[in-house]
Amino acid sequence: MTSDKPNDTELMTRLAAGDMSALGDLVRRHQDKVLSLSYRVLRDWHRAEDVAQETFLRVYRAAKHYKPKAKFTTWLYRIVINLCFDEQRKQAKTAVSLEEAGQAVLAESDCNAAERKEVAELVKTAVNELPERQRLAVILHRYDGLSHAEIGEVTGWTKSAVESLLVRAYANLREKLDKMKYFVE
Amino acid sequence: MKHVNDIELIEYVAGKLTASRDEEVREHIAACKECSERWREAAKMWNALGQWDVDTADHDVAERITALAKEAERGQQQHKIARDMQIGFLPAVVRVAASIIIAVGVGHQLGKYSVRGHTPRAAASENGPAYLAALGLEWSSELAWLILEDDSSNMGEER
Repeated sequence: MTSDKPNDTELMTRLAAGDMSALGDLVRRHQDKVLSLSYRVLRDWHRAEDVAQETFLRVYRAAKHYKPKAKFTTWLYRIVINLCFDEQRKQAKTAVSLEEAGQAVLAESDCNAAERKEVAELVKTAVNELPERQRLAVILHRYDGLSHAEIGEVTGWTKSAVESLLVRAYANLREKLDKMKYFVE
Repeated sequence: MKHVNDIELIEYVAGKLTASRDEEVREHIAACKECSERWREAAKMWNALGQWDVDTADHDVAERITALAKEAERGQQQHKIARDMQIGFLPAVVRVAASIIIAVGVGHQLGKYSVRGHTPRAAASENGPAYLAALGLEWSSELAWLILEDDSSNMGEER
């Protein structure tokens, strides 16, 4: 069974021709990724929504001049990251330390919902405590599934810089999470 | 025995290696105690990170974005209409302005509209006006274009 769904480039072509429903399709297709990426970087839903909104408005404005040189999602993520950088310059960072968040000791393999939530908060805190570039590299790699090359395209970093950041970031995270004594076997 | 480097180990845990390289790493890990232990730690860390799930269900921005884009589209169309109307009027305005300038220029040359605003005395007589005689000109029909219509309301009056 073949899919009749238009791909991103086809939707951009339709949008450039004035078909507003194509914008709706693009938003519905990508907004979850854009929102989750923005939220993980900015750590604030209000700002994440603003970034998501502005991202898709820029997509709309650029439609007439859009030329698919790279994957649509790479271009989209580049817009998101640049907007997040702009937002970060404006906002004051209020990171919560691991000590303030508390530590969870978990040995059992099955967890209830409250425990999972607590663990998620601790992991979130561990990631948020990373230096900024390491944090962004991990978010794009672990949570958005980008390859090293794609991370380089989105951020402007070289491939070797991306790999170096990821190695250090994951080493830091291993250390932090080990201190929490949390591991699901 | 060459150990698996850190970045490749992460990619192995993430499932992003090529099929052939994935098989090579798996075989090495099975045979190397050190890399096996490193792999266990990396896999635990990878799974732990996966616990941070972001739920975007309550943050749907699709309708807001579409509405804003449609509003921007309407604004652009109205701006285009206004611009087109301006452009459409421009030739007519230029024509009218050109006509006025030409009429004033020609009239000035003919002496019909003097700088001081005096209107010369007009005479409609077939015998020609007295000023022609004063100018040493004899009346003929060829000079009819020089003859101005009588206008008693502004004869000799300064405008």
